[in-house]
Amino acid sequence: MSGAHGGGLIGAVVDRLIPGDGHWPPGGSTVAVRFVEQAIADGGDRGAAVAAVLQGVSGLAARRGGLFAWLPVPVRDAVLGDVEAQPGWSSGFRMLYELACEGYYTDPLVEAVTRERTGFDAARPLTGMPLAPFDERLLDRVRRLPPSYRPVVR
Amino acid sequence: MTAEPDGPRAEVLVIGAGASGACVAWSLARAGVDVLCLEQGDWLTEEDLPKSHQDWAVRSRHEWNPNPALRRGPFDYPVDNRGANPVNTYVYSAVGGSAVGWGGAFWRFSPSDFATHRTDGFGRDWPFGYEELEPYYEINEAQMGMSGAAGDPTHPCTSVPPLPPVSMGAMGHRWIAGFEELGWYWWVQHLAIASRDYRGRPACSNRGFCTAGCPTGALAVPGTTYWPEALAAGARLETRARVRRVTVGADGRATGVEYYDAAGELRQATADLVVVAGNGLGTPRLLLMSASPEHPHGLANSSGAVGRGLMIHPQISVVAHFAERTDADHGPWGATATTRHFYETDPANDFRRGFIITAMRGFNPLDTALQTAPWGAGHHRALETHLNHEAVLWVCGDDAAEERNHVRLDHGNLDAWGLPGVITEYTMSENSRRMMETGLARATELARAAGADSVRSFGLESPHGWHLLGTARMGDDPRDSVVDARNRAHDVENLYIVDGSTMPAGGTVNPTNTVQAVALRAADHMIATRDQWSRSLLDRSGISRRWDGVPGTR
Ligand SMILES: Cc1cc2nc3c(=O)[nH]c(=O)nc-3n(C[C@H](O)[C@H](O)[C@H](O)COP(=O)(O)OP(=O)(O)OC[C@H]3O[C@@H](n4cnc5c(N)ncnc54)[C@H](O)[C@@H]3O)c2cc1C
Repeated sequence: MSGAHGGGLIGAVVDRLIPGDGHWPPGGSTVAVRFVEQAIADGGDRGAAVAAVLQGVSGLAARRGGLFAWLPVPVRDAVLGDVEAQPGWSSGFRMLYELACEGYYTDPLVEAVTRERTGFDAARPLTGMPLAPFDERLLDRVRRLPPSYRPVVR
Repeated sequence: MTAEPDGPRAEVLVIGAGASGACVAWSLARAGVDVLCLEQGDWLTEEDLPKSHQDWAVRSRHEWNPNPALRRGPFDYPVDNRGANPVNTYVYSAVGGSAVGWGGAFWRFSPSDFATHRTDGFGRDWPFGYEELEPYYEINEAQMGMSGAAGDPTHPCTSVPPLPPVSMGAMGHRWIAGFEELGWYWWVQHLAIASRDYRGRPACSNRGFCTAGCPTGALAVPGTTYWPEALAAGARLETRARVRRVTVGADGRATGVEYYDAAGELRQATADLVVVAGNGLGTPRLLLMSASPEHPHGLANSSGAVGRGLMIHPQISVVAHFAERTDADHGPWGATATTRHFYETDPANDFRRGFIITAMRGFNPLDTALQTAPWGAGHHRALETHLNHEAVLWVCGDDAAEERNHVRLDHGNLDAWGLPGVITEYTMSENSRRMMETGLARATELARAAGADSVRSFGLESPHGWHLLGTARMGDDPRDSVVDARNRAHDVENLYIVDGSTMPAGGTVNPTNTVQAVALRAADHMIATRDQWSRSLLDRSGISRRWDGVPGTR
């Protein structure tokens, strides 16, 4: 990672927000990183809040012994937990997490894993799929029930 | 700054090109009335609709967010929501109004919805009954292309919907099995979604997530249903036209409006009749902005009712979890089936009036992650547990208009034209709370009957505000209401208000079919009385204008 939050900070943070496993890629290797970078570049309240959180992460990491990306995983998670718990950073932290998720679940690679692991096919909302017409015989029992609404006499 | 008097002229000016404004413009134009509609938003293109894009779920959270405070679109006005239960107000500013990113659930009100005070001592009564609206429901359902089935024993309607029900898919059948297991009344969802090709619109292709825009056009929106025919009949529509006040002459009659056009120029449009169709937020805002020395508390507000009595329908969503997959990636989201089993007041309950439960579908991956998955090691475990294993039951109940719940101007929060935004104040009543507790219990019962192994809920505290009603209410008594039974302002004889703000009671189902039926009925009244208000007709006939009676001779 390069830029204002260089040294791989954004990628390393997103890797811990959405860690990979045998099936899912880690967040830092997906579009999520670009989403965070873009939000910071766009500025505004959100960009500023996210940038402040990343600065906070760097600062706390330094106090724990160095660059965030170089710390052992449990220490990295502890740093993120500390940042999240800080009242001044918690809403920025949530924004960072939301951005990471927005990017992550938009990445075609992640969409493929989502389909494989959960059956949710991201292509369907874009293309649709045929479904059998509704069978009105399903209404038969209810149709036979007595009227159930309140008549109003004027 | 005064408006240039060089603006357009029309027989009728309609403010707002949304669900109700479109109906009025359509009806008037077809009757040969010269109608001009001013809309603050613009036409939407396919490009604007999130679901035209691969990242639709992200766009739905930002530029398409239904909440203008989060969307911050170029045509929006600021909305600040307060009170013990700040409403998540949802409105769009575009041709089609808020019904551009809607779900299309399309029920008729029940007869008792029009007489809740008389029958249950709850809320306010409408000045007319269900049967008055029946012919207008018919017109609207044909025009919007409603899908559904006839024969629902929980409603007196006997007419056959223009289109058969939309497809259910496996999740719909699972919900139906739940209803059947419990022996409840239920009915296939009535939707303004084309189940077959209809009047140039294609049949629904089951892409789902309807509120993220429907690029195929199967979901009925005013821009594809009413507007093309209205324009073909001669109606004019000026977009990016932000109305800042309704102007009134020395005789107390509306003369037109002042508005900012697309170039930002302040203009004056004149008309014989002005129709406000700005939604439960936009209408009180405009009336309050139209205050003048003669109308110090806002136009048409001698009753003080403008902005008062905001109703939103108490709602609670129950998200049911199933061991099996729920096919969350397809099928019309607006619903599969709805029950009116708990619609009417039941003396055994500790609340009055009732609720519906609408059985819907599941969430997309992004929303599921944000709702259920923590950051860190447990993220994917949680996602895999919830995604495509959930479906929503939406409980929606009747709300009585309470004076403390209101909309007012926010002079500290201005729009791009320097006009005030609005503040909403909403505190949920005890009746609503108790009703929703029961709704939650019943929905949980239904979820279990359908095979769910657990449920989660979003709670009650910050309700959805997609049904914004009652803030310029209709009634017979001018001391207590803003418009009469024909939607004509008590205080200004040539001003009509036709949107959801005029509902004295909000019913228990999604309101848009009723909002539009009321607007069509009001338009018929305008047409029937045209010889009393239209200058061109009066000039032609040599008859002087006189309201509410036989026209006098000049
Ligand atoms: C996400 C979402 C889902 C929904 N789902 C459903 C559903 O499934 N079923 C259902 O029945 N209802 C649903 N609704 C509600 C439905 O959209 C509204 O009931 C309906 O649009 C109200 O119609 P209206 O004419 O009162 O207002 P709108 O349709 O909101 O139209 C008002 C118009 O006035 C314009 N306007 C306001 N002020 C000014 C001004 N000063 N100058 C110029 N123009 C102005 C606005 O830009 C807007 O276009 C949903 C709404 C949302 C947001």
